[in-house]
Amino acid sequence: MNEQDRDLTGAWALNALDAEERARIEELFAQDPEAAGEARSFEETAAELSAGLEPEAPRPELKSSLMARIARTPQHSVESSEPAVPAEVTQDDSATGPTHRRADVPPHVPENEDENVDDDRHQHDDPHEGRAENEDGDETRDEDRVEDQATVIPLDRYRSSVRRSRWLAVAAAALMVTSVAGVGLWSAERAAQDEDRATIEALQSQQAASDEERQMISALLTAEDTSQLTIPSETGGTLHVMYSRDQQSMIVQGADLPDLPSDSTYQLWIIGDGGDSFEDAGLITEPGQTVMAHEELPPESLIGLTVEPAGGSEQPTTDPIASSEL
Amino acid sequence: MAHDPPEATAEPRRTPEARSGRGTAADAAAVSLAALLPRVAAGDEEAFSRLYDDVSPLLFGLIKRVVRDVSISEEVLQEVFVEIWKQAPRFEARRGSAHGWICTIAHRRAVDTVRSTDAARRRDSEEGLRAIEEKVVDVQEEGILRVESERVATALRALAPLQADAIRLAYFGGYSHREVAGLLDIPVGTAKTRIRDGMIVLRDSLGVTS
Repeated sequence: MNEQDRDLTGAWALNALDAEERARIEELFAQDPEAAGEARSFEETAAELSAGLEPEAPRPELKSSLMARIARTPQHSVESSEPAVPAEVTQDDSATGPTHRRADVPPHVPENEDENVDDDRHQHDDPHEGRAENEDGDETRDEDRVEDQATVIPLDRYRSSVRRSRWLAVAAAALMVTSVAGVGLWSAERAAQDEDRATIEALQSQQAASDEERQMISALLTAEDTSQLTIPSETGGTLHVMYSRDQQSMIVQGADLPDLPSDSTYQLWIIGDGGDSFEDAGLITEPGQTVMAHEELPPESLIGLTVEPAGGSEQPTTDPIASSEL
Repeated sequence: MAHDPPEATAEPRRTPEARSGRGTAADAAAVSLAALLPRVAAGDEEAFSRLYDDVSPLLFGLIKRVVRDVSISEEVLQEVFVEIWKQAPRFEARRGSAHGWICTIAHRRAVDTVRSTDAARRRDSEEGLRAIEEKVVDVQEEGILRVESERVATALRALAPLQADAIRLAYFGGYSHREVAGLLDIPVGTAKTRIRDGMIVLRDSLGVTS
């Protein structure tokens, strides 16, 4: 470990590193037991600092909802926080796939979105098992059921592929606004980083989503149950959908949808009750437009796209040209 | 250690708690935490319930200090406990204390939240900064009210002012070391070493064994 990185042990223990730095130092811990030991002792020290704060009992209601939640939340299995023990570690993994790749990090080391370093405000994963989250998460696995119609990418994989994702520009813009607002806090060194420049450009070209939209993206990126769908449309083009039941939020972006005559429009629907109820989820009036919807997504509901008269309809007047279970 | 083998064998072994010389409520909590966590790891919801009762005020205080917004703090608190529930089977006592582990989860989650939500935008105003700086300074004042806190306040006072500021901004303010550098108007490298040097002093004065 070089001396510069070695100095990061303190910042590491105070969670004062960005995702990239965090990943880097955690890798180095594996090769430097002394630094790892120091980091661990700082972690304990940080915990002592929290004892310096006034404790404050949370509202009692919180506990009952929490208890209900953990009752249906499976726990992780024991494996994977061990230092890498080749051969033995992998045997349990076959069922859930390649979940825990970096087991060789010290203290209680947070596995994090290390590839996903577009912005250090982008690190709201589980401290310890970021990637594994969706694979043994606490909700039912809707993903499996819809594989036929659509490609579902669990959020963990989604996150690792976020660079390539079409959400990136939007998400980066949303996240970058935070930094722009607080730009005085940022060192010139950091602002000069290419990646930031790229996100700033993305931001400018995107015309910055509204506050609400940014909030939704942020919420979606953090939610544990967020899934992403790509749904082909019968008339060409696709819909990209990112949604979370927990957050009651959905972002839909059209891609390559054919232009419509000016007297008609694409309209999105949330279809419930086995096809009997239709909730308007927004219009897609321009190709590539992003639509955000804040509504309840009941279990077994579908998302559908129809072509409607310009201005949209109260209820769909044509058959869906794209749909998928959510 | 090296020079006292006779006493060491003659006397009953002292517990780590006794040796640390801080027979406070925190020790009792630490003991019960250490006992509860393996039960939680085994899926014991009753143990989890007790653990929640034991540590939620501490964690909520910590989360609220970093996050500040009450309703966001409540959400974070819930996420933290779900996390504790899920991860408990992977906690390993030999790598650190249960208390340290739990606080790390809570603090990490709180920090990630302020860096990723609009809470960050709100405080990134000049005004927000002043408020947080004042709040951070309050840590010492508040600390005096409680025995356990006095220990921490004393330890913080032992730091060079810039070390203490850097650590407070990072830990209680949730700022990254780069932001800390910006706030204190010092180079990033300096912030980094100041935090580390300060942590060494704190660790020693708080009696944390590495």
